[in-house]
Amino acid sequence: MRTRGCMVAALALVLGVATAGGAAAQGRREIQAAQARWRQEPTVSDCVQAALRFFRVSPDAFDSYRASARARALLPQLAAGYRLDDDRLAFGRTEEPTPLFIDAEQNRRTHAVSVGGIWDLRDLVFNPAEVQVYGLVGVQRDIMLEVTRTYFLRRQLLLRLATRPPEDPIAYAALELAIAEYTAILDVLTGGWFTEQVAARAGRRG
Amino acid sequence: MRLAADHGARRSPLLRTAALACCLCAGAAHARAQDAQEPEGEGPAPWPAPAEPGEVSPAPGSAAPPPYASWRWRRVFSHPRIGGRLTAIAVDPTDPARIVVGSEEGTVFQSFDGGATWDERPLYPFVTTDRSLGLQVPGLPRLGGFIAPSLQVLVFPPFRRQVGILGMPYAGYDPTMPRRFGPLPLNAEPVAEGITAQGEAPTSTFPEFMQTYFVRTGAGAPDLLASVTRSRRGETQPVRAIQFCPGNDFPLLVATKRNLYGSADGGLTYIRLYAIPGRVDLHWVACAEDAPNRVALATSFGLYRSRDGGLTFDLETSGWPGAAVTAVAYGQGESLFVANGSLLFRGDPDSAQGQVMVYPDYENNDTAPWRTIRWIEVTESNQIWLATDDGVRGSLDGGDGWTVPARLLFSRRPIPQVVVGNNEVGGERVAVMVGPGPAGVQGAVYASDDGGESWFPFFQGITRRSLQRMAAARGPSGGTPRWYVAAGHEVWATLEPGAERGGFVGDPAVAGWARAELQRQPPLQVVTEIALERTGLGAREVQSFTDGLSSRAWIPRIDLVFDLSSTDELLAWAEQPTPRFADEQSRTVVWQLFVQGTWYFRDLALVNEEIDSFQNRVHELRRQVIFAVEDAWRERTQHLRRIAGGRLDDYQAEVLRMRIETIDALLETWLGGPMSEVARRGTRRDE
Repeated sequence: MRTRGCMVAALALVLGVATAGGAAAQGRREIQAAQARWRQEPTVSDCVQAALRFFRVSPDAFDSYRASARARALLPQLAAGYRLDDDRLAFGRTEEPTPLFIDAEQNRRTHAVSVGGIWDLRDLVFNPAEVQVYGLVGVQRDIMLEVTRTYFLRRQLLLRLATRPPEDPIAYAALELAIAEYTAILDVLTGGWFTEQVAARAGRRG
Repeated sequence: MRLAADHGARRSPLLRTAALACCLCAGAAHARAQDAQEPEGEGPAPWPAPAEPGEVSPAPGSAAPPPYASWRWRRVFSHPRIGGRLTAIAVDPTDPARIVVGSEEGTVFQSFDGGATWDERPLYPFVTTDRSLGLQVPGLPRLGGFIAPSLQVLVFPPFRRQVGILGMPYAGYDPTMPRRFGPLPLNAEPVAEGITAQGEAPTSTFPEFMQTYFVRTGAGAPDLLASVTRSRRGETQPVRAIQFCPGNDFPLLVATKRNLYGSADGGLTYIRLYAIPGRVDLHWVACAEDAPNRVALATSFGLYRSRDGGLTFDLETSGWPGAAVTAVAYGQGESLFVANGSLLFRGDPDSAQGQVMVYPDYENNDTAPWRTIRWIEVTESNQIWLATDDGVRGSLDGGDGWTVPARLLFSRRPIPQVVVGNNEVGGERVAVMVGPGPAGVQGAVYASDDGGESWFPFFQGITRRSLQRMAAARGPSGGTPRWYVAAGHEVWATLEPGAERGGFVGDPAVAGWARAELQRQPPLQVVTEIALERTGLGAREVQSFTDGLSSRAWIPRIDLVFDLSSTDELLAWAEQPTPRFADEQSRTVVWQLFVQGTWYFRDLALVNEEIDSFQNRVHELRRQVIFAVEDAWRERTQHLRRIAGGRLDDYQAEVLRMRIETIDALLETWLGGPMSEVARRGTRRDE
């Protein structure tokens, strides 16, 4: 009697787990289907690079700024000037009783040119311009964090929409609206690059 | 009943089930024994996980916790925007797996599975501006901006010859740059206006002879760093309070700094319920458990009450109307506890008696000093706990008598919050969050399981983030209660004893991927060092800058000037009566080359201050980079470990995998390559 009970329990357990396993497989297939749809979208790494390029704070731009800042100390500051002096003097003189009349005229015109260069050699050891590049580190960090955060939240909502869509139509619409919002934010952060890429890749596939 | 079956992950579900069934039959007696020890009807706990980096047990040297307090803490959430701060947390009393966390940016994060996955929801539409990228691009000149006059005092050495294009005397005074000296032509036409742009360091003296008497006054480089590293938190509407109100028309209420929002659809969308005209801050929102749709709102302009779930509010006129309410809580029935600064009022405002002041008890000086009350916690047993700016006050009789528990522990420390929940054996636990102390003493949470008689460190030394809020929830299906602490951008939760024994439910392939990633992951120290070097903030770079700043005074500035002038002169002379005529023409060409070296020895006196300022700001920037990289690394590790544990379903594992992808994108940019390559670089460096 006890053996039969155990067998029934085992059978029920096997059936139950088989059903659960089927549901899990179904969920896995849904996730894989969603992933396949996303393949036409840029990766998060691409988005980060696009945003950094858009805001001109990519690591390459940093290196370029630093190199320019270093080279700056070797380049002089130049100034050039031109000066024109035009002096005209008319001189008349009369003397009495011995008559003497003098009539003189003196014109003087000067053209002057100055060219100057300044090398601030102190910048070779410490260039404040290089420090400015440090200031961009914080900007770069903010942009990267914002892009990754937005990208992740958007993907998470897409996954939810694909695998666990809300039953309430208003909730469904709100979810789609939230996805559109995050898409727009990604576009803002990448200068419209994100949507362009999605469209371009979809066009290539189509 | 849970069964450990990690080793069965590689088998098929059918085989595993059959094996389990046989084990069930064979070991029924053993299973019954386990049933007696563990709660029934509970599947795998929603958030069991293996040991994680942040998982901490009580410190050996700390005060001895009760023997049954085998709790451990585990980080269950990190703000998706690394570095963002969480400001409020609440757990649904009807569903302990539902957690809501508020951020300083005015958004809420919700988890419906005990912290495994999270969704972010904005409370109001213009979140993009409020998220505040804060793009203050430095170094770019402000075209067309106002050009401030800059006059300077000059002291000429006697041997210096006046050279320059204009040859005019220099004099003037510069009120904006008192430390900068140098010649500036006063009354000549500018040759090249605005040679200098903003972004120059205050220490750099601009070229005098070509610098005009108009100089663009821009932010110096240190100012720039300060500008970039300064906090921009004031621009947002942080979430101040989150309250679950079961039975209300809006069961979830969220109060930001200025607005009250309500959600009737489980947190998917929010409606702005109330905002008081003017710049009135909201401090807290409370709802009555026993009276549906009764909501109280603590504001800086008094107490507001609603009888319709938050749709309309009336200013409360009993108690101390119009005075700032710093905390509010409902007691039994519609009894309300309202804190006006350091005063506590109690009673039903609608009753004939209204609200009556019950604290401070001026006849009991033992409870002094009476500082501002920040939190009111009322228990089912009618105990009242107050968190004040100077310690904790407690009343065991509903507010008639007051005591000061653990004076040595809490006095002279700000107490942001007191929460009463349950301990591991079902008793009452009082937890006190202690704010940061002087000299950089970190905040902590102490708890008492005996009504305040004895205290033990409950959450101490686990994170270096500043503690924000905590919450307590009963365990799922009557199981062990859970405690949550929001600290900085993290949420920590207690891990119940035995939670590691969950079953394997995830995809073995995904778990295997996570294990492989964990093995490939480079150590944190390597990651932070490379990130700092890549951003130019490595120790060597910073040291070289400091050395350069120190030696600047010894290096001259070289001025090289070439002047060329050509003068044509005509002289005509006529004299009478003795005729005499002269006609003279001449041309004079003069050139001069002038070389001058200028040493700024005065910088020797100023350089220490400059170096300190520079180092402080660079250190702040380094700290920000280190924190961001550390957070990313720890979060990645945490998610990988959780996936590797295999106790997440496919959806949860996929969400975490996506999150890891985004973290990798961050780290790749900081590190200049994928993590696997960084690991190799780190290995080579170690060798």
